[in-house]
Amino acid sequence: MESEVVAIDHDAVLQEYLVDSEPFYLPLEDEVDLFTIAYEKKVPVMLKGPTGCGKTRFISYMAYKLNLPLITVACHEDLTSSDLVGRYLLDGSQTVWQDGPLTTAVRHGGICYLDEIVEARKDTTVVIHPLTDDRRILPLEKRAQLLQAMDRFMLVISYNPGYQTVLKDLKQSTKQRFITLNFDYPSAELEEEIVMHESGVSKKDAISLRKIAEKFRGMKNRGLDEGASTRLLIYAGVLIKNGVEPRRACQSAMVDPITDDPEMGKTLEEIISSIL
Amino acid sequence: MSELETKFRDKYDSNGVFSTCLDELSALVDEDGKEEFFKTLDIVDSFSKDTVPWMLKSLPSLLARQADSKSRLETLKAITSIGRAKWSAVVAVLNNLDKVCNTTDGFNIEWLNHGVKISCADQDAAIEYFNVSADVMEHLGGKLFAVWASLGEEIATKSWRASKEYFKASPSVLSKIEPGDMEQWARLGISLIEKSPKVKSKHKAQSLFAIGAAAGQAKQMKLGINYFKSAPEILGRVSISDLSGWVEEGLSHTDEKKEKGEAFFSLQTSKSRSAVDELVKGLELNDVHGVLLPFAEAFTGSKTPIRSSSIFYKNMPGLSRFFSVTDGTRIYLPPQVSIFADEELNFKSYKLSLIHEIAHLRYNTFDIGTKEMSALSGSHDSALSMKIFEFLEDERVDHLTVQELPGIARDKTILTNEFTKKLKPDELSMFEYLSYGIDPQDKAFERIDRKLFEALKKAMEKVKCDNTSVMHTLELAKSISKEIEAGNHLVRKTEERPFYRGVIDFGLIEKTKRATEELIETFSNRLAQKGAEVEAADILEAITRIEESRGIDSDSVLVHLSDSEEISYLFEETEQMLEEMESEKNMRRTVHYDEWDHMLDDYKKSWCRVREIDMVPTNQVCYDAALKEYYGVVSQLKRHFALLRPDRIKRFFREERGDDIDFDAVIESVVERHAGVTPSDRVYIRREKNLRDVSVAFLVDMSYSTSDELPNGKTIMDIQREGLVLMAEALESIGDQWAVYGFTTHYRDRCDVFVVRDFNMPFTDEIKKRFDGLKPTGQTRLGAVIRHASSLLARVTSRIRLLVLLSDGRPYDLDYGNAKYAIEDTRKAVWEGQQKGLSFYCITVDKKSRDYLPYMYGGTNFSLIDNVEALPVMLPLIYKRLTT
Repeated sequence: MESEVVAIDHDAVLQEYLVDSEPFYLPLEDEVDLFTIAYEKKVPVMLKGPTGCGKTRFISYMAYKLNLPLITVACHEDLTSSDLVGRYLLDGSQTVWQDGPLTTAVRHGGICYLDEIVEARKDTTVVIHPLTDDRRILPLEKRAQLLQAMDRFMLVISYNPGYQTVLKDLKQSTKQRFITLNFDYPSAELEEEIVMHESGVSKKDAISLRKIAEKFRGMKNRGLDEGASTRLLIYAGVLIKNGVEPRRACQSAMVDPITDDPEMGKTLEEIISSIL
Repeated sequence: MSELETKFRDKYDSNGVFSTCLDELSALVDEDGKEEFFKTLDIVDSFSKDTVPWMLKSLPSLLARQADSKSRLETLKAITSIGRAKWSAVVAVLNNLDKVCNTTDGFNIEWLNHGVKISCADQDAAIEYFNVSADVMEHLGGKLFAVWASLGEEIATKSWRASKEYFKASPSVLSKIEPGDMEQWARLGISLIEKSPKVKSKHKAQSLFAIGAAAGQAKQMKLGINYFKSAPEILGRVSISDLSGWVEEGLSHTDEKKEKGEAFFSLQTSKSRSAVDELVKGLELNDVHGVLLPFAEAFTGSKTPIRSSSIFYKNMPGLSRFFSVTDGTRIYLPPQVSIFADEELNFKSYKLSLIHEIAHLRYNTFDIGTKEMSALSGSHDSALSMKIFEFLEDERVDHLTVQELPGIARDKTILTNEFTKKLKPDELSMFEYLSYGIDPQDKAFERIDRKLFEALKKAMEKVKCDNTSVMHTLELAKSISKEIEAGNHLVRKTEERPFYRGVIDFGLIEKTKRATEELIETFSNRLAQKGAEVEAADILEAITRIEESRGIDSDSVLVHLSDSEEISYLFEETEQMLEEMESEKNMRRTVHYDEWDHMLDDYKKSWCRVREIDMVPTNQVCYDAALKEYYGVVSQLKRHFALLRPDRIKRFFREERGDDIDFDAVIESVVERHAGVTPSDRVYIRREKNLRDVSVAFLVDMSYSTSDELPNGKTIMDIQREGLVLMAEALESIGDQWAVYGFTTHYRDRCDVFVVRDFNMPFTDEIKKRFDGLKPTGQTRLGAVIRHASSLLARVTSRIRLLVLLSDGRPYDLDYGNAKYAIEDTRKAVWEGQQKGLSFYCITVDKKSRDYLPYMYGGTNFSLIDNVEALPVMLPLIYKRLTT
């Protein structure tokens, strides 16, 4: 067992996780304030909303604002609790304990962001439970340790209730440990500004793209499972900016990704060709 | 004193009426005139004695309005000869004489002479003629009136029925077309009567069904009659030149081949409809409906049914291809567009027509109604004023559309370029020149009024601003109408709309709104009488759904129904639909599936509608009863199945990566390194959850046949349910993922899959209460149900995914083809599932099934249980065998 007495240079450990420059983010509502309070009061946060509406962008923006390192874990089905917490590795002729991303954040401070948490197996997500109540501890079973989270530690998860099947839903016992920030697609003006800034297209193009997205989103549950996300708008914008013919750009960035049905595809194409 | 005079004096002079009349008459006409008068009286007297005193009273004053005794005599002579044809025609003459005298052009003996000629051809037609004369005279004026009447005579000699319709329709038609077009309108009808294809009579002369003189004769189609009958409805929506274009085309088909012409003109039967389908080139609404509907909804943001405008032309099939309109909710589009040879262009026309109608809805054309519009109808030429308004309003909404949707502007330019390319430049109408932005050549001004053209051009600029409303348009139209009145502009040719534009019909909007409200009120009252409180919105939703299910070219708009029998029928349907909607509250979703037709060797697209419904929990009695009855079996099963449950975690040693260190391997590795051998890096222990990775879905037949009773008093359904209860208990102890779906079908659009338990639902008492809902109803359309269950099962990621079907017979539904068809479809559905990596197994109690089961599921994938009562015990055993 190594000693814990040695003073650790937290900043050095987390240097690589710091967000260098301010990410472009336009607040939708009061989410920045809420998040700041949650951080100060040590309350975990859940970000909820459709895909591509800026959840991930928001979290890097907040990390920059609060000057916190951001450790992101993209959750997947084979994620085990060791992947989160850490494991012993062999190094030459000795064993070395390697912190997992969650442990790193707990030990050194920072935001641990579990993206798309529902994708992970349910028994895996249980390890976060003791971290999310007032105890704020992480049990390291293999080292027989209880790790107390730093003040600067914050747990954030993201969750998209829309498209997953009934087979993938969060347990109530997990859900009820977070305050929840609901995200939706930004308002018209904001979205135009975002698309302009991110893709570099003109105001006129941004307005057209936003109008198309509006129509698509109106068709949710009328033949579409999900409307076009802001992210897709930006992709379309990037293609246009780089000289792709606008209708072709929208076709490949906004139609083909969201529907496989040829008839619906034709409808969406017609909407695009009406607006552009 | 003549013989007749004595006769009438005896008969009618009891209170001096006859004497008074005679005195007045003596002052007006000579003896010849009196004699004519007596002749008329004599005719009327022999048919209707009551009418005579009325005639005696009214005739002298009417005659007094004639200028001289000569014309009075002629009048009397004419009346007599009309009377010879039919006495009641005389009444019609006398009734209308006064009105005719009051018209601007006044009475003319020609009026009666035409009447005489018409009455020779047909008396009923003559009566219509007299009745509408005054109105028509107001519309046409004296000179054109004579033309109109002679045309009527001509029609009457060709077909008395058609002439009757011609007269009847005239007043309302003339209010909609330019007076100058009247002759063209009538001529078109005449040519239709002359050239209508003859159809063979259904029955030969010697047939038992042959009736009277018509037996065995070729029958003239009633095209001419229909033409005049529907004229008031059609005109104003379709221009005269559209109409003649349509007739010419139809006749050219007839010349080419008789059957083609027949099919063109008559769409009464489905056979002839499909005959037309073959004739028509171009794009059909049916083919693009699926694309246009969501397109419309995206722009209106609400449900916007798209229907075929053929509904407005029941009597004149085929005409609707020139016509689109909206009634405020629905949008009616032509059933086919064949303006261009290129399909893409025709599609663009559809889109443009649709977006134009949507624009009227979005930019609030219908903020005003017929009340405001009546300001226009008072003007000198109301048809033209209305057209001017329509044109300007069309321009207004098109401008706003183009502002918002620049892509539409591009489409429009392409289309108008292509459209005008086909025409000679001087063939365009005034509205087309203006709308397409083409400057007419000087020659064009021979038929277009230059001043009106300039006035419209100016007005057009005014409406093309961003913040105009329909009121602005109305004001502009009014002032132009006034200018026309003052400056005496003349518009000679019927002005056509740009090809993609429909009609603005305020009447239709208001009628639809009113009728909808009334229908909903009637229905909600009737429902209330039956003790059901239903929200108006729900009734509307139900009616909309029924309408949808009837298809885009059904020949009625439900809210416009007036026949009480049809309304009662609709009410019944609405009740059913409301019930269905109620049951949908538990509905999870609806999915359409293709069905395999082995005769076509192809799928029928989106043929079956499967509704996935949550089974309503009722009570747990039958669940508990089954547990009690099979108490011993259950506990035994539980133990057996629990033994099958594998260890939860399995360790894999000597792995490249893992969570723990494998010390044996590490020591070896260190030793190897010291010995100078390349050490192995497989030194970790990997732990893996070792789940029994099986998912099973039970699909339970809920058809009527499962209500058959067995010797022990239980039904097949009872037995199936007990089997499932035992299975549920066993599966919980083994830890497999499981689901139970019941299904029943009733025609292809009602295949219901009831979810008793879905994968990953907690197995609570609530779920146990749902087993009771498995009850016999409906049929067994296996294909669709298997496709749906397969898609549900395919969501699960287990290694073994098994679909177990519990059934008691072969697939069957009322519209499921013959046995072969059903079996082939089921086989195909199973094959599709197998392609997705699913396994199928069928457990049946149908002894005859040995013939077809191997074919449907494969040689080994089924069990036939001879002793039905043993099913509950057999089921878990079969399952165990299948999955271990």
